Amino acid sequence: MTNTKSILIYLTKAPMANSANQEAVDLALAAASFEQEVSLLFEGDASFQLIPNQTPESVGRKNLPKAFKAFPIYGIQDLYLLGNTEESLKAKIHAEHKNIIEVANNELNSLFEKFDTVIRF
Amino acid sequence: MKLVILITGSPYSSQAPYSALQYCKAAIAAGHEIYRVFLYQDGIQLSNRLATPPQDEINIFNEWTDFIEANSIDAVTCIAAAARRGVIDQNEAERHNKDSYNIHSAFELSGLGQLVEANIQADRLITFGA
Repeated sequence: MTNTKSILIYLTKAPMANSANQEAVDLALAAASFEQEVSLLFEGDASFQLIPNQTPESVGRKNLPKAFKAFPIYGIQDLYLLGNTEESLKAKIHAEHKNIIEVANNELNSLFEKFDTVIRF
Repeated sequence: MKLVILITGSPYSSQAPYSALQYCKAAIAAGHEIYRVFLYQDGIQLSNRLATPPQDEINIFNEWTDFIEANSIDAVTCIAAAARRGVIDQNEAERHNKDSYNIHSAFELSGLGQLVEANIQADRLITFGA
């Protein structure tokens, strides 16, 4: 048995609506610090948090986009963006996150198959 | 199979704890092992021992704690998620100078590492969300 598993954290909720994204990122960082291979997938409204220059503090929330910057230090592997995101939003996201990987809707199952565990938030 | 059950949906506001309980009972009946139940996000509310639903309704809190105790299930409540939402144990109450604590003794307050470790040990992690 291996002590390292690949985990896909699958984000589906809008950034400021509840604490789902914050607690998902807490789990991603905790898993990465236990040497797990962690990647994140952003779907639909969750992709809004990838846009630059946000001020979540103004609505009483932690600045998660800042935490995203720490991902490489934690060894978090890949960021995936589900391809049905609106084009203008996608362009902004690609400008901010150069290495984000776009996944088409019909590639979702094969993406899931690459991981030992998928946890949806 | 060794299973880890992650509950992220709150009792009553969501069906997650009830569905998870049905799933766990079926899994045990089929010969599988529940390695750990982990409560995260609003799912932590399930470990609040002060919840008292009306008597003509299902008491999902008692159903779960009875099941945990009868089957010696390892049940863990995420400490950060729970403390934020006002579910704490005696240690946390003393540490934060609170006059009371409210976690049920069937659950242990611990960190996300318990979920990560369970995921390493288990064959499958099943999430029950809102």
